[in-house]
Amino acid sequence: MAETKKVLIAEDSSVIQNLTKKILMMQNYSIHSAKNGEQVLKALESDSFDIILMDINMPKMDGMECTRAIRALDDKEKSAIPIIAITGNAKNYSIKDFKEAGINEYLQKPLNFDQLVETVKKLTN
Amino acid sequence: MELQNYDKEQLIKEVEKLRLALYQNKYLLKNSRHFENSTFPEEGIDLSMEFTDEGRIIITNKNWRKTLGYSSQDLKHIYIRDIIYPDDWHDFQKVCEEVIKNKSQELLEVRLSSKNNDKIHVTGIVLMSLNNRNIIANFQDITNQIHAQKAQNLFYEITNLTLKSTDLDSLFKGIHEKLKEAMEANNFFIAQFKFEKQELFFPYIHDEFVPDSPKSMSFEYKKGLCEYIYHHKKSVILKESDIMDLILEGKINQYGTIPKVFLGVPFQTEKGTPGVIGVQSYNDENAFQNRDLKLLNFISNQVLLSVERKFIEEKIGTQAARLQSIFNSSNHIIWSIDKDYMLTSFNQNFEYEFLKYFNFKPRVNTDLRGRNISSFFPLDTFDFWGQKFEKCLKGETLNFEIEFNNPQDESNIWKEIFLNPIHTESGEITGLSGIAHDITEKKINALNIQKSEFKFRNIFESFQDIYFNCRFNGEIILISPSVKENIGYEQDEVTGNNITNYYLYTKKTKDLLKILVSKRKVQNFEATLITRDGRLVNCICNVRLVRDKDSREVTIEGVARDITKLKQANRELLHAKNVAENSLKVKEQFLANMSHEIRTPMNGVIGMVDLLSQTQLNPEQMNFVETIKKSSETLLTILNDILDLSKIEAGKMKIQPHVTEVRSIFEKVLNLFSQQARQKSINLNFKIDNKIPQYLKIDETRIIQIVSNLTSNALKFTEKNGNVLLHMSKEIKDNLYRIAVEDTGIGISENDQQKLFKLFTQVDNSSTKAFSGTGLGLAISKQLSSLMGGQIGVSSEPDEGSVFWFTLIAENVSKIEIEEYEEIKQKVPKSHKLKFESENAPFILIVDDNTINRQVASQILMKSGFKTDLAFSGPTAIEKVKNNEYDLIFMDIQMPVMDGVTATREIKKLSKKTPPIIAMTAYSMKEDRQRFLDMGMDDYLAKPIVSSKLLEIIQQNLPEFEVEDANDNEIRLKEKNGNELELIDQSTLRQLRKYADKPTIKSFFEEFEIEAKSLILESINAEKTSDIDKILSNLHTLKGNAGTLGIRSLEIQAKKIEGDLKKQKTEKLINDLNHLLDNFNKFTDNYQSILK
Repeated sequence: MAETKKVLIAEDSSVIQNLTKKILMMQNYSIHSAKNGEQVLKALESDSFDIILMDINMPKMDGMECTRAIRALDDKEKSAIPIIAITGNAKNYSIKDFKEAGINEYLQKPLNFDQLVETVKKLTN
Repeated sequence: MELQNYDKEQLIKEVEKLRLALYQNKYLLKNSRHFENSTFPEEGIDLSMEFTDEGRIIITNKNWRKTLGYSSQDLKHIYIRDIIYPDDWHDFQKVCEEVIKNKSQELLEVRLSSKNNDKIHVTGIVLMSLNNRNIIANFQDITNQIHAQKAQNLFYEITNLTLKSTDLDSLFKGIHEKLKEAMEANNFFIAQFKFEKQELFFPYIHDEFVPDSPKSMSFEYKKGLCEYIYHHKKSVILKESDIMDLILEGKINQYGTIPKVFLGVPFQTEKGTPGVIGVQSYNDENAFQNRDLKLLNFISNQVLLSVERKFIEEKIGTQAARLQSIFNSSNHIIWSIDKDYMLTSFNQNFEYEFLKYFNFKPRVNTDLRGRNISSFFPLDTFDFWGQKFEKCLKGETLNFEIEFNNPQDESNIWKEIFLNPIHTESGEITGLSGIAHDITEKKINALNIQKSEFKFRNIFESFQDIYFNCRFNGEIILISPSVKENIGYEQDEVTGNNITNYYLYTKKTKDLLKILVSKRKVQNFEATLITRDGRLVNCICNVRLVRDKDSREVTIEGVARDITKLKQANRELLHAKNVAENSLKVKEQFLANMSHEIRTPMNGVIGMVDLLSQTQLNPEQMNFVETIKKSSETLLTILNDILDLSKIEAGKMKIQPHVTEVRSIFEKVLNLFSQQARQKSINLNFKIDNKIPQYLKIDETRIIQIVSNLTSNALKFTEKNGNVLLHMSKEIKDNLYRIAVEDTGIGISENDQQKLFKLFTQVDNSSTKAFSGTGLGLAISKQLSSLMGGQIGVSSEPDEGSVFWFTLIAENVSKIEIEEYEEIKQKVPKSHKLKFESENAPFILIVDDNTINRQVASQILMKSGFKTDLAFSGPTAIEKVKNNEYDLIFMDIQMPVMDGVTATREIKKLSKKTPPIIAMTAYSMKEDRQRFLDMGMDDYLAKPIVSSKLLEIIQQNLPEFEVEDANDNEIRLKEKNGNELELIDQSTLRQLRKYADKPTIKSFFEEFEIEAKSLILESINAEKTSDIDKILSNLHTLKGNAGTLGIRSLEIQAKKIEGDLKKQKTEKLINDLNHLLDNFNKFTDNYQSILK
């Protein structure tokens, strides 16, 4: 890898947060965290990322809302950041809903780690 | 003078001279008297004149003046010198001096020049006047005489030249020379008109202004002087001024230098070639006079005749030369003989051949009968030729071929000979001509062709198929004699007729021509020929278009072969095939029936053993029961195997791929065999490669069947403490997966590996068989994997263990399909225990003609607390339904008196609410299920009756009864069985270990412990305030986290509560949450030890 890719993980559960963080760090990613959608947008104001892992079920602006907000940003580069949704799908969103919101891929809970690493790699290369 | 020393010409000249001298003497004698009188004959015919020694002309007579053109007045101004032709002056002067000196008289010949510059030839006497010193000249005009003589000479000379000259050029030159002697002819030409070429051809031209003359040349036919003269058909003398006038008048055009004077004479030869001959002078206007014109006229025809004759001679010469060269250069041998057999002519080839054969050079007049030659001929050969010559000399034309030996190399030589009689004009035969040429090569070719023709004719005539060749319109050109044998017609009968008369005309044959034209040939075309007696013969034909090299006509040729017998054989084969297929169907039916017959009693055995094992038994009894159980299960397996195999062979086995979680296959197999493995202390495990998707579209049942088979074998042949590993991996080819069962067993020799996958084969066939089995398992597995698009195989070494593997093609699963699958899975409860109080237990009717079956089913149901009733036939069942209220009916299908389907229909016709009716049958084919549903049954249960299946189907059909708590049940069951509860899913742990080290993993679980605890406690608090949303959100997070970390029990429990909450089932919520907390605590107590 020529340079370390920056990953923003938005997840209110610290278990998943830490789990993904550790796993991706072992894969040589630089990790940044957010606990909800608002924090994600704030982080994007001052920083940029190669990919965002987005939990759908978050307090204070959920993943769907947050994704829509990112896609609406003026900064062309930031509005096009790849977004992977992580979901237990409590609200029964369909794949169509995800795509419409602007989510590139989604990972179902319980998380499969192979799939996680593979998807992140795929979207950052 | 010796006469013989003179040639003819000289003699003529000498005679002429003598004649002249005689004439002069006579003349002088006759006139002397006259002159002496000095009378001047004014009226005389002579030309007389008297002139002084100074040259002044004093007297002339009338004829003198007339001839020379001077008047008397003119004489005063002219001198004698003026009238003497300048060339002759010197001679004349000398004669005059002689006369004066000797006072003599002299005879002389001189040319005078007239006032018009005409030359006048005269002869006469010059003498002194008797009276004074004047000189008198008395001449006779001999001009015409001279000219005539010149012309005659010239004529003679030209004729002479014609004979003497060898070619045209020298002839022309000669003529020109002679002409120059007769007249001023420095510039001379002969011209011919060649109208066909629009050309004026000068075979000879000599001109001051034509370079390199004399020569021959051509001009384009234009408007020149020659053309002018030709058109006017008149000989003319044209002076420069005349020519200028003609040019100005536009009658001619000017080409080249205009001469001072031009003389042209037109001519026409016998053959009609017109032309002009002419002379011209560029310096003397008076070069030509009328008599020159006459002269030229006079000789012109002679010149032309000479020229023509010479032309013809030259032509004949070349033609003869050509003929001679043809005669000699020809490849043919040519000769002629006269009546006496004497050679009269022959060519070089003849000479060469003669030399070759007779070693004798022939000459004209060689006698072909002569001793010289006949001695070389064998006698019969000479007789042969003699006879031929004889015939020919009688007027017959002969043409024949002879063969003889080449004396040089003993090879055979063929020659064709033509003998023709030679006739004179009168018709008399004077001899004969012979022509011979070599035809050896032609003859050999012809012989070869004859041979090959013979060979091919033989083939053609012995040909068994029919060969035919016909025109595009169908007319048969050629057909093999085999037509007789095949369809009864004679060859001649068919030839020339239309081919369509001999076969059945169909759409297919109609299109044949079109196909032929586009593809040029058609093979294996089937047609039906009609025999002479009307039978039909099936034929197969190969047909193609052929183009005849010579005529360029396109025809059709082909071969037809009778395939009636072949067809017959084919039909028989087809029949045999149908018979075979039929018997297969019979066999199938038999197997299906058999299976039913066997299954019914098996049902009883298995069911009863199942029940028996649940009763109170002492250990010995328990042991017996287990043995019965195992034996009956084995029997059932064998039965199922046989059924499967017959299904596969009948092509009825269908692979039914559904979305399946790959892991579940292995889990199920492990469940099946874990007991057995534990007993042998064999480590049984499975491994799924990373590349394998979580879900695949596969036929789970069939894969489990194969894997079970291989696993059971592996366990069978693996010693204690060995290992058996099930391993799934991805093959390179798309969608191709491989499942291997690796063992550390006894292994198989290569020889035995060959037998493995054959039917009913076991490696150990000895009577002391150490291992049991039907020998069908691997054969079935092989068929199944091939149905799934894969293969099966083994690699093994004795004592090293074996790897049995198979491959299969499986489609990937889309996310939507996974979602659907998960949804369905969630709906299927894992527990079948219904909750009910004994007083309102469901009332179930069991209809079966078989007592054992009824017994089994009712025992199972009673044990589970159901109320049961029994009916042994359809009619009994109907009666019972009329009088009782059942919640469910189990209906056997095959019953005497009235079958289950009919009974069901009758029940459904009753005017009361009918409970669900479930078919019970040994028709264990999956397809049967739909059939029974179509026939009005509500569900379907395959025999043998096993409690779990029976309870499951009851639960599905009695929705109004609640199911007991699944997780409770599950956990309780596991605890009861004494199995260690798998707190953390091992495969999840394996996956985690790829990405994180042990301390990190431990930290994940510690983190989970903290978070989960607060999530659960929060939920319990939220329950008090009925904050269902909060609980749902927490449970959702807990479910996801627990699932991710492989803590299945917590995941399932959270999911269950979440599911209930969504259905607004809140009455047990607090209990469930507390229970969740209990389980959680259990987890926190144990996970640390598991992680080690």
